[in-house]
Amino acid sequence: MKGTGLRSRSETWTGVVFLLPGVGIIFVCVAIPILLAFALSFTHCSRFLTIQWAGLYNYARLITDPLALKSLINTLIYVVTFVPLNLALALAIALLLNRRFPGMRVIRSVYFVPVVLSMVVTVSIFRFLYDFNYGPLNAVLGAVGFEPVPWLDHQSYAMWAIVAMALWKSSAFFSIILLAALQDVPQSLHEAAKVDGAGPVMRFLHVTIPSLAPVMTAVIALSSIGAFRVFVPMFVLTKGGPAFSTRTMALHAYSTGFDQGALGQSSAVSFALLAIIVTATLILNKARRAGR
Amino acid sequence: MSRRAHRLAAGGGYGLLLGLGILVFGFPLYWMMRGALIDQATWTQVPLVWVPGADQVSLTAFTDIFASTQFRMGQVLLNTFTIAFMTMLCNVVFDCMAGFALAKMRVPGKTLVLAGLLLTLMVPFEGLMVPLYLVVTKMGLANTLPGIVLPGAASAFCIILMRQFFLSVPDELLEAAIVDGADWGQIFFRIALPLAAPAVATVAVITFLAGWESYIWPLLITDPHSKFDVLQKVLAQATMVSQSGSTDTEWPWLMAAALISTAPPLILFVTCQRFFIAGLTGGALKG
Repeated sequence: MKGTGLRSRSETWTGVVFLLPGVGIIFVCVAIPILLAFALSFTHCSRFLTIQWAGLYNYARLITDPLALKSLINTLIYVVTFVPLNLALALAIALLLNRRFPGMRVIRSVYFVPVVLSMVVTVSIFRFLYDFNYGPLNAVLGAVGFEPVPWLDHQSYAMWAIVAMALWKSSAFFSIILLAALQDVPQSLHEAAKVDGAGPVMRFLHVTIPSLAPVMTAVIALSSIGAFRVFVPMFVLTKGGPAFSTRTMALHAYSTGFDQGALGQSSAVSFALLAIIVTATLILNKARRAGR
Repeated sequence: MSRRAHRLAAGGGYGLLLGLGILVFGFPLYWMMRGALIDQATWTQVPLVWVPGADQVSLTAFTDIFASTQFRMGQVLLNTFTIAFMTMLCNVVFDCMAGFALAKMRVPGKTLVLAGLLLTLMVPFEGLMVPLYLVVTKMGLANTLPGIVLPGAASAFCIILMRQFFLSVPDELLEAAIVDGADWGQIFFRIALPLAAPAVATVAVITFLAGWESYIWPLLITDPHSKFDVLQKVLAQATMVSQSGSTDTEWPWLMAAALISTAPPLILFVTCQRFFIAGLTGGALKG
């Protein structure tokens, strides 16, 4: 905006005042902690803040410490199963709900219930759904002649039980985004394909999917960021157990920092997690731009 | 198969899938409500009581949690509401001001600030738990209300959202006001902010919910059984305790607390769906 010298000086000052509270809070609560984590990751810092130079020791531990390595692998397992299944389910739900008939509004709102529940509420409901003795899931299994399954108390099941819960929680959320995109696909494209003799499957593959591609990349990007940082479900439901089978990187960072007081080690885990997420975001953003 | 039969089969398949989805997504909600209305004995009855009879249903859990020392629902609800409201208020004021300055004002270092904000969008809170705890504790804000609210009091995402909105406000409108002798404060409050009402509503809804549903940070920065305990913390704690197989927690209480915690988001979702969806999809596509 153009102005006289006097006006632009007052503009600068007011602008700084406008920016200061918001940007200042983000600086103190995000920028400084990042720098602090980076600095601490090269030290043996205890909970009493005794600091001793450690070089790259904490970073080497990320691979040499079996527990750190396990939490990295668990995180990857979670991401690799959650992200594609989430996309497939969200797309299926969006397609299912992309029709118009009386009552569809009500049906949609049932599907969107998980969007309204907080993660803690979701976790506490699923804790009862998965209950070994009194859970409805095991009751159904029992009715059709199966043994009850210790969903959260056995290392072969706990991770998958949590993945299933996370899918329940987030696939509806992502289907809202996909549904909006589906409704933006021009009807004329479908008509043209029909005239060319394309059946429903061909139209899905050659009209719907290509038009949704940018939004699908966005869904992949968002859900993988969410999956890398997953914390609350494991923290509340299993504490990372049984036998560390659900210990993710965020949980490992929490546990080494707050339970063991190894702040240096914890900072290295946090920083590695950060680096992974930033790298993944950049790669996916690049893919998004290339796809346009 | 005739064309008609084919059509019918496809329609039936669709209906079946749609019904299955309703069952899968609706059932946990039903289970929460059922769990809040029955008592502990009915919970642990074998075989399972799928649909409790009228004589097994009561609202005592909702009154009990207000009296129980584990849930202290009155105090906890007040805390949660205060924190959510303060979070919303701070964000509405700070994010709008910053977004406006970034969109419309000449400020030195503006591009740098914007780039920095975009970078912080990629940073997960879960990666900052320990250092953020150290920073806020060093500031002497552990176990205080400002300490709980501070990290959520401004949002890079909402600042960028507001900036996007203000960019679409024509410069001519503001220039006319300057010529009329208005200062920047008046321009912001009298012209820009009223124009931005839908975006402000979106920010308000997003940040109120963020405050209402915040769990990890209040857990970290307050002592166990602090007088500033929030709903999510108490609920998570009770869920953990209920896990050991003991009956330390009354299960109906847990589900009643979960239902109470769900009420505000549900009300906001139903009444402000437009802003809700705008926040969701805007965040997804621009973030």
